[in-house]
Amino acid sequence: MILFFDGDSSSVSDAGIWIKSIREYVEKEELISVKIGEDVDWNRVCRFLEDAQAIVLAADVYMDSVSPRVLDLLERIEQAVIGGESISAKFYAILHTDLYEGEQTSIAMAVLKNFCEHANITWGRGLGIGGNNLKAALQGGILWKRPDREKTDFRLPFLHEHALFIREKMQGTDVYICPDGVSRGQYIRQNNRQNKKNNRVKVAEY
Amino acid sequence: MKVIVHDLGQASWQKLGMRFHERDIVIGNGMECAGGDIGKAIGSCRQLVLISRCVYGGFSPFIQEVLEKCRNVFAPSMELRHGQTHYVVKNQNKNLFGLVCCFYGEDITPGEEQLARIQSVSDGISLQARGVKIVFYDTPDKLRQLNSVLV
Repeated sequence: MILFFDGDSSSVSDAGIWIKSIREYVEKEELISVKIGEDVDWNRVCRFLEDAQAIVLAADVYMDSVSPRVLDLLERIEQAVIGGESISAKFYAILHTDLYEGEQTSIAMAVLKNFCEHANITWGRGLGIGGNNLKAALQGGILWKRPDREKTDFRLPFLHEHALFIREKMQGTDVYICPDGVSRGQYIRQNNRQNKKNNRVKVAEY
Repeated sequence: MKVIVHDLGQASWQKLGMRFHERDIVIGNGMECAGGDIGKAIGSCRQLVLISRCVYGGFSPFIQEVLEKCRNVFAPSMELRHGQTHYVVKNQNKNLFGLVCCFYGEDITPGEEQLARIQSVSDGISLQARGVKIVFYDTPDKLRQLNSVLV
């Protein structure tokens, strides 16, 4: 069984992409999704943790860290392990940021690895995604020049590769990615242009 | 004016006997403070002091929550700084305020200490602090020594 923790904050518009890409590759295996929030049923999570062969955490990174809710959950898991809970699963992470460079998730990734050491959980693999503000770039038409947008989402090949590691419960080297074929400058300009446009819409609505 | 954000319990905090000036602002665990107020305070201080339990080589959930509430310090637009993309900082005190990151905890490993240092510097760059000072104490009691660091 694969236990998927959805640690995205509500502002993330396409959060479903993470679990969808894993589900495509692990058809036969049970995949349980838990949204990290205030109303997490901790007893239920503990049962899942015992049975899971892989734990996957998807979360956005802000100021070099995952959200406080995710940190809270990690500490609770560590306490459960200290209290006698046994977790044999490998831990996989999908961290993303709107900032261009995937490497800007590397500090948060290292925090997750330290958690794994504390909780005696084996690290599987990390995927750090930069340039995740696809909407802005998409509307400007710089990321998808071909009509079939799904195929040209730069994240998908890497997510599928990550899903294979998860399916096979293999360990791998962490990977950090940024939008393929779009320069840093283009991405920044497109993002800022889109923000200006959104602000004008907000003012008009007001 | 300095802003101190800490995750200590009320009793531990009071035991420290921290020196304050009249206009200093303290944001502690359990205190109600709206995100806009925190952002405004941080955006106008001379020194921002973060006192945090070291959690896996980073800030504790409470300190991280406060940092998240400061989103209005940043404009949604991005710029290139030090070869990386960063959010544009719109507060008045950018490049003027000092950031002090103070971590405490009994079992901080060398690896966690190094990671906490890297995160502190990186957050200082994100917030456009003038400089970053990082200190570690193995017990909350030793935080008293922080008085010599604060302005």
